[in-house]
Amino acid sequence: MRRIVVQAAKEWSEFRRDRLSLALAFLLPLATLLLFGSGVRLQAKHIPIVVRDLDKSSISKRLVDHLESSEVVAKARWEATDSSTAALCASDARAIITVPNGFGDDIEFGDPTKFSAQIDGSDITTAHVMKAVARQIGISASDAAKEGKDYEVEPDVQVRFNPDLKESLFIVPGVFGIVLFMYPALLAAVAAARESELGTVVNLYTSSLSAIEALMGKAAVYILVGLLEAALTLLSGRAIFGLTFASEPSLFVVATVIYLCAAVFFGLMVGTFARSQTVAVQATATGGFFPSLLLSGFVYPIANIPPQLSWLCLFVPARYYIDACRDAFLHGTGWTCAWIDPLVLAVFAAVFFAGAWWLMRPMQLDDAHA
Amino acid sequence: MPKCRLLNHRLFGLIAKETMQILREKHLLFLLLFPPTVQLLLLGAALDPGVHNSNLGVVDYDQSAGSRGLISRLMESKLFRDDHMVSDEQQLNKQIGRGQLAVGVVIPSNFEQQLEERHQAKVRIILDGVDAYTAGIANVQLKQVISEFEPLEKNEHKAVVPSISILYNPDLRSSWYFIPGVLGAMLTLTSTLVSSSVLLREKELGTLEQLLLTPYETWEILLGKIAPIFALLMCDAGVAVLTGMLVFGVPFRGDVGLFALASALYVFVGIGLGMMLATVCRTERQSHLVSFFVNVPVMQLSGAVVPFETMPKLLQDIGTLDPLRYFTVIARSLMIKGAGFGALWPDLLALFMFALALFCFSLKQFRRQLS
Amino acid sequence: MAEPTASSVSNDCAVAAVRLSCLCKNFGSLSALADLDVQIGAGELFGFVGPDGAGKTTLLRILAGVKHSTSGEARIFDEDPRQARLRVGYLTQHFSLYSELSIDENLKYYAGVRNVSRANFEQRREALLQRVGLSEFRNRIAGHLSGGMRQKLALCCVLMSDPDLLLLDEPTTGLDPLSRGEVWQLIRELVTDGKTVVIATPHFDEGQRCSRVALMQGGRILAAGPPSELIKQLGSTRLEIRCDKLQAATRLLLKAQERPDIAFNEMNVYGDRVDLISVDPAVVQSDVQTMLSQAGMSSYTVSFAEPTLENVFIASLRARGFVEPECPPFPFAGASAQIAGEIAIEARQLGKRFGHFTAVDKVSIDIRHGEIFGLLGANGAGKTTTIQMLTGLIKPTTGEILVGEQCGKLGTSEFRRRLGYMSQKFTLYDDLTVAENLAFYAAAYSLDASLRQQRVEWVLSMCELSKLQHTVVGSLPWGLKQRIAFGASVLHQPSLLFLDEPTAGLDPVARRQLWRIIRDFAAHGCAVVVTTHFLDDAEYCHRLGLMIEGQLAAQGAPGEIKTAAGHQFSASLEEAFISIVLQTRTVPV
Repeated sequence: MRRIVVQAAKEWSEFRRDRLSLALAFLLPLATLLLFGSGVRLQAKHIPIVVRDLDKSSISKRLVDHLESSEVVAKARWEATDSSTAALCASDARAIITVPNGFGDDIEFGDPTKFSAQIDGSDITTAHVMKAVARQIGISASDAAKEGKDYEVEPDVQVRFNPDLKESLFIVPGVFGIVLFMYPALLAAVAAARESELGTVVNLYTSSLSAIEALMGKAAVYILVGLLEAALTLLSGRAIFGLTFASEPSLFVVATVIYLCAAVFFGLMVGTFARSQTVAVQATATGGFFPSLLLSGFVYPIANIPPQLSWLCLFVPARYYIDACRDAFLHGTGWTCAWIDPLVLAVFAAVFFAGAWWLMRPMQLDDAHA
Repeated sequence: MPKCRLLNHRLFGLIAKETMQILREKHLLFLLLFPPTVQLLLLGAALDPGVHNSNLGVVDYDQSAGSRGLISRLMESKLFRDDHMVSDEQQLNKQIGRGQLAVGVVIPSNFEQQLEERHQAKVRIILDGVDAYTAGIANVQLKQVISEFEPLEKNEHKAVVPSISILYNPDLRSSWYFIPGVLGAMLTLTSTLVSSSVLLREKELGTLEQLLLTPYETWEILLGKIAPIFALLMCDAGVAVLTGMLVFGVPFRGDVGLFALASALYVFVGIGLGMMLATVCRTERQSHLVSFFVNVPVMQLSGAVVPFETMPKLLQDIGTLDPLRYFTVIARSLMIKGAGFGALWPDLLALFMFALALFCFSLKQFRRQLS
Repeated sequence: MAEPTASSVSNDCAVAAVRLSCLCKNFGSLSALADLDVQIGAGELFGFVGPDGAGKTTLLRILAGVKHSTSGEARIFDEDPRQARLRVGYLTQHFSLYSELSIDENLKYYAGVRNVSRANFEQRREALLQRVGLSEFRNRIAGHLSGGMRQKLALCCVLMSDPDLLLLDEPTTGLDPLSRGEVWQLIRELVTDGKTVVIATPHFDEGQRCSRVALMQGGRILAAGPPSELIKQLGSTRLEIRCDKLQAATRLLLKAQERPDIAFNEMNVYGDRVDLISVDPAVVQSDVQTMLSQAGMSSYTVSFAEPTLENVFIASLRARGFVEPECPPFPFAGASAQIAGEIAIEARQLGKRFGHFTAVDKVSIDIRHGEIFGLLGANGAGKTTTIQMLTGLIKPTTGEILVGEQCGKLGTSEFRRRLGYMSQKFTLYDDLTVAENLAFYAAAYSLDASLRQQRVEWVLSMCELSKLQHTVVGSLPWGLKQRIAFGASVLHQPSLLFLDEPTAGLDPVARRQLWRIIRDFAAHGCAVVVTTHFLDDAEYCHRLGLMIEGQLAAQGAPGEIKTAAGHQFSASLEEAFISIVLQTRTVPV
């Protein structure tokens, strides 16, 4: 035990003198939080559109006003003169809505009429929204035409847990998952690879430390750093985005500690395997960061990933942690429902530690080191 | 004349050496080819912001033909994968709370009756707002489906019918949207990583000193280093485009030459970024940490992965400094919309300026490195 | 001298400290160690001496328990090396210290990981720091220490656990002569205390200080035993010939060497003398005296001395059938010997500061065509920085550099065309083959096709690589790489040649061959600047400059320096330098 402390003390002394790493360890997570938390907005607003009113009746004018006052669309800067779709091609507008001549008259007399919406399909998010808007226009125009309402089904929508649909509440727990994996893993991987690369690992091998003690000594520092990062990110999330716990936080705390262990052990495993720091960094990025970003349900729902790929999501630790986070901050069900997340994370942590131990076990320079 | 010939000769020798070095460096080659292709495939297939395959829970207190009609209409809309009949509203709330259901619909017991008598009925929709994204879209789409709902007997035509045509991507395939964006993101990551690696490795190995003392001028050295990286990255871009076309059916409607020009410019930008990193950082390790930090906002602000319009105005403005933004616009417009030079020249100009600025900066810094 | 000198700490005096039986180590198809059979008794000072690539580091690693052998056995105190590792202290060349930790933290770490109790730690730390003179610096970061201090600290770290066996891998390489002496003093004290010390070193003079040595080459032991015995076994005497017209004398002696009835079997040419090894010294002496008098030379001396361990090494090599390769002369194009004596490059009051740190201070030297200038000094003395300024790689903070007409203007492409440079770290690209590397450098200097072919062939035959030109450089041993790098740096026949540690790691034969080529270049009008910390290499130079802490402490021909330091010219340069260092020392080192 004392030996683990000795190893940890040395790791800490080295780490705190490396100013750059120190700064990055605390600044980068914060910066990532700010960037993702405030940057990712999932509702499109102010979509530029071109409205061509060929009718110029009072009804069509009302329609145009209604559109222009809405938040969802905005008037594009484009001279709506001809009928070409050049505006779409040049990406100056995402849709062209044309109200034909005679629109207003037709509505007044109750005759069927049309209007056209040409939507830029290359941007699917806005395309979906524009489709809905177009339909909505149709519906409200129909309503305007009818004196009495005919069959109509009115939805009364309740949104649970996040009534204002604030994306930050959705995204920020996800950012925790990314940040608390990426940086501790990176730091641990670089530390392990650096020792190999510099050759000072020889001292480790000739000491009385066993592989387990050496690994735990190294891990201790980075887990602690990770905890500090977690605390910092939590406080920032609270201060900037108003993130608060939905129920008692014990699950969150346990899950965070285990998750950090998993991240650091992953980094150590990669770093012990890699011969150089470059390879360690690249491997951590490819094996840790990208899957966490894409397959964890961070932004895009896991349900949307086609089955051929979705099995990969099972192997991404971030996914389980983000689940636990969202539960802690939003659902609030706690141990009853989300107990499986810390368990799976513990399995990951154990597997990564075993991997790192297996690689370090011989405590010998391998022949490629020559 | 003879001097000109000599100049070509020695530059060629340098380029040959750099090319051979890169080709021999297995892990660099691997890095250039494998992760980008995998990322591309992964992102193209996985990223889909639409709403489908969600779990729907229905509490039908009415159990009438009308309510069943509504339910089948909801299922037809392809929003949901499965409908689960739930016994009561309490259960529904519980299941949503546990995250088992994304959307719940409660049909009141007098649904059909209300519809027949007063031609108006209410249903309650409960959304899991944790997934704000899905919830937002589900909200809109559900409202639509429900507004359009009519009992089967009546066949009234709506007075106003919108004729909606979706141009360029009529099926609204998400892969068509993402692949051009991902292409740019992938080029950014790879080119910065590779170019900074190559430069820094020479610095660390000490052969840089030797190189600086040969008769080569600084620009020759840089060009020699860049040439093979550039060639490889252009191959990368080509492979990525072909993958997109073959695997995901992404169209290529624009001019190939124009696309090649834009890609070439962007690759220069990426290399320039990598060179800048190499001159600013002292070791490869530092350059990796810093490039992590730089690449994330670059990707984020460009609109390549997360839709541009969804970002707040401040970030959109900062995004004008992001070269990837311009490349993404060019790639998307060119591949999917078939845009030409007339529409794209401002973005091309922007890319050109970025590449020039970065290149000049690195050239100046390069020799200063050793002291 | 094989008996233990003091009672060992452990009870097993009879058990050998180190026993190697048929030890072999292969890296793939490369045989790094072959059939080693050695026994080292407790309390001995044993040296494994040989050039780079001899297998010394691999051997020490196996003894330290950090590498497996392929076959055969290694026992430390009759245990497997890994089991015995806590009784062993292993000092590596570069990897023993953590540069970001302070002295105290380094010591604490070593003590902690080797189970040293708290009480022992306190006591030993004080004693050791006191002994090496580092007590006042205990909070300084290891990375900020000078080379000598680092090495002493590394020794302290290794001694923290009070090991019975010490494995020291090149403990004095890169140190200035004074620090080297201090480290050796420490080593002797350790042996007196009863510890067993095993040293790996490329310096033959260090081998002579050991109680027993094993001369190694290519993974094999050529000869083993006490140095004095090995030298006696040669049965030869070394004759030192000094003459005021040394070059002419050398030429005569070289011609004499080709005669079949010759009585000396080895000849070494240094900067200020010629050494002959002979079993029949009297005959040789009279022969030489006759030869020189006939040639009209009047002032010369012929004195007798003992052969060195290096001579033993070369003799052993010869006994194994090793034949010194016939190295063809460099294909020079265009005679330029007439510019001999002209100044090629001159530095006046040159200085360089990095932030607060002064690397080079008021250095004034001039390098002339046709001569070899040796720049000496410990690591960190400022040699490399000076050369970087002279070549134009970095700009000086103070002072100026004047370049002779032959060489063009500093900083231009023209200047670099005339410049040859071989750096301390590598010149070659590990991923490319020998042929590709040479082709690149030939192209860089725009050599035309015929000249290119001639010169590349010359490099290949110099390194005996004609058949292996398509081998990837990374897989070649250091010594060979070093020689190819040298070849690459002179392909274009430079007028000004800078060589940074060109002979580091080479075996004595290769070293001499390289010096022959360097002298050839000088003879053809090249101005050569060499940095080295092999003091016997310094003897090859026409003029020397000794740098201490950024300043030029002495300058002149080897003989002049010795006289200025108050020594006879038969004294070694090392003694002279130690005197100079002591005179100029301002801070403890």
